[in-house]
Amino acid sequence: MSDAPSNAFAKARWLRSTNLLLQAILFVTFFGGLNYLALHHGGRWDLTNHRRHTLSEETLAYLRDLEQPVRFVVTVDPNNTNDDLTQFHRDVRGLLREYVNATAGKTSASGPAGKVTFEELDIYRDQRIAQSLGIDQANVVIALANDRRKIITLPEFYETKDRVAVAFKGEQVVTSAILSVSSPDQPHVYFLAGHGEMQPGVVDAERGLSVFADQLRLRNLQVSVIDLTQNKAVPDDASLVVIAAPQGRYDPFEVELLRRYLSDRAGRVIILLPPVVRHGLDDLLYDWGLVADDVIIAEPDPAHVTERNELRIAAFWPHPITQPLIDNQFALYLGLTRVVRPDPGRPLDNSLRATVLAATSETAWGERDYRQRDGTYNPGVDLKGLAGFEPKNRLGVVVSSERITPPKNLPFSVPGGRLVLFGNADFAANAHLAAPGNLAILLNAVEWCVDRDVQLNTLPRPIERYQINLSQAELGKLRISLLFILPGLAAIFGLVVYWTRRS
Amino acid sequence: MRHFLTILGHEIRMLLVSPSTYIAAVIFLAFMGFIFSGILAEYAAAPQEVSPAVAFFELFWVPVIFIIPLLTMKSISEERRLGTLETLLTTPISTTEVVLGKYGAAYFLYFSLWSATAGFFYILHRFTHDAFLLDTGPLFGGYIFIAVSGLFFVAVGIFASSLSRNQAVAGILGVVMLFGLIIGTQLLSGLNALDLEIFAPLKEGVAYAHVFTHLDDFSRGIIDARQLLFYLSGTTLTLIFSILGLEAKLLHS
Repeated sequence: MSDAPSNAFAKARWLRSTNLLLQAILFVTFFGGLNYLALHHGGRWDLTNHRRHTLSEETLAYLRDLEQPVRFVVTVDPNNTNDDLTQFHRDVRGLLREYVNATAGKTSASGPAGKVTFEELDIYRDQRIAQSLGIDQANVVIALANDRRKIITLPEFYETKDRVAVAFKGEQVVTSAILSVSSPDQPHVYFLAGHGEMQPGVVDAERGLSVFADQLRLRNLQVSVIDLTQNKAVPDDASLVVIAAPQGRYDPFEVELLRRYLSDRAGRVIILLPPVVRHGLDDLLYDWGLVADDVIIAEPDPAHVTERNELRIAAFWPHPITQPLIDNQFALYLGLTRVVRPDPGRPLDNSLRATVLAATSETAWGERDYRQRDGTYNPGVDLKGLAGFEPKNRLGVVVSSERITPPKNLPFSVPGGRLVLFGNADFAANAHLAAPGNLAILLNAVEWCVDRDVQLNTLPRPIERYQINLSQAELGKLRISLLFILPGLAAIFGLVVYWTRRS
Repeated sequence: MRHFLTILGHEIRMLLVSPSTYIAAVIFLAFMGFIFSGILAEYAAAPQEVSPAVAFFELFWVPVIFIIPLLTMKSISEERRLGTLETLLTTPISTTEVVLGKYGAAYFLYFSLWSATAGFFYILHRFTHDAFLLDTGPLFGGYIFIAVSGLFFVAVGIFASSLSRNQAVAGILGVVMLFGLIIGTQLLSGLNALDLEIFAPLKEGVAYAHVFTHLDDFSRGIIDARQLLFYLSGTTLTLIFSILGLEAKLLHS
């Protein structure tokens, strides 16, 4: 009998404890569920002026329709000591997080359809993962979707002026990459064969294009070889035909096949045409308002020639193909080069737009009698840039021609065929493609030809820089103020309170 | 909750008349001034691509991990050690009111200390007369982050204080918990093991709780409802745990 009240208290105590424990579990479950729901349905508000961190409506529209999950891998070391890389890492992380958040709620029965995710990878420390993903470059961003990929390098993210980044155009670049890798269409690039052309499967340093072909595959392009003398037609799935340094003349029927492909099917062709060679493409080029002169460019100014006697081309005209070279002040390094230019005697055709993309210096001329190579300019014989033609006093080394077709009674125009002509081919060979300008212009030409140069209607975000302009003495005063004013005020308050309470 | 304001007022009064509060304020402001002047030295040497406010708030975790346990470790553990808590609870005051009152006072002091650091930016402006250096987005975003995250961090300190009668133990517990919450999530997010598919939910959870990511968003001027909910629900849950834990301890003492 005497134990009964204490037993009752013990029971009540344990009952109350169990009740507290159950409450704790209930609250954990409730808040866990609440946060889980929020994870997929949260809102995000950009309080900055002009909503500078908010994705554009155009990008959001693309993301809403995104069917494939797209995974971004960032291979920038966050602990690097390079300020540019640190900034790049910060900018890219912030931007990709906006894409991840914009697609966070997307789910489907088959998995995370249309979700954008991103992760960081140290390719030196995590070599196994890097190999499994086929990534071997540091300080890049790679977009992956199924077996497609696109590598984006640091210079592509920034607009530069005098080698200083002035604007971050990340949204343009990332959205373009998402569209590129998530699209079910994989552009097919055919390299012409049968006339001793340089080939994508060849690893030779001077005549091989294997590095170029690898770069194309990394950019989600299929690469094949075709011999028109055997196939008798340009394949239906051809997005681009590359003619790289033929060693002999093309038969007229091959030229006709190329002409029809360009004109009737709005085809795309890149021609790398070294000097000296008889190629048989003159009529085709004439159709497209271009001419490839049988001359070799001579450059007397050593400022435009390298130690290895290569031409250094640094004059570019604004165009999607050349803009990255202009922004980054890249140069082209070319061996023996012929002059290519818009044909002055081309038929008047408003729909044809021929543009010189890269040109020599004003001192260069086209040596017509190149077998003798007397090293002097012979007026009236050799070719010289003319003041009345664009570009003034310069000779072209890369030209493009584009046919714009205005549909009947419609206010917009439809792009027709596109052709890019280089007066050189060795710059694309494995040994010479390491020069950043050489690789950039070649890949940009491919991207322009396959319509990958998506120019989204998003404004680059200006990059602001903060600096304190104070003399050494003023800076010293500032440091002393920071170290003593506020702590001193707190100490005075404390002493006043202490004194007041004491008295 | 009638007595909450009474307890809060009392606690704040006690803080304002205590010399230790001013000693803490002097140390905190001197330390933060030292950090800020170091940051400004870099801005004087070369142009930087983030505003001084972003660089300043990036180091928020240093004072948080040390100051919050110092401010909170005494609050409940000391009352329990002296036995005054039981006495207090014989009055019509509930455990909830006691915990919330002490929490409110600690948060008031924490936020007041941080608010005082706004004076650094005023001093900077007086010297440079360059409004561009006081980029309002990161400045306001940083202080909003400090205000919102502080709710959770102070609650963690109060929870640590409710776990032990010993102030030192409560302080160490607070440091460990805050270190785990701030630095632990940072370390976990860099672990490759989380890339395995089986750990995908954990990875998502870590990314959600990653405090430095939250700071990065706030300092860019982005307010994310998920992050606000994380801190508010974390605060509420931690305070509920403090109340329930305290009740359980009183029940079994």
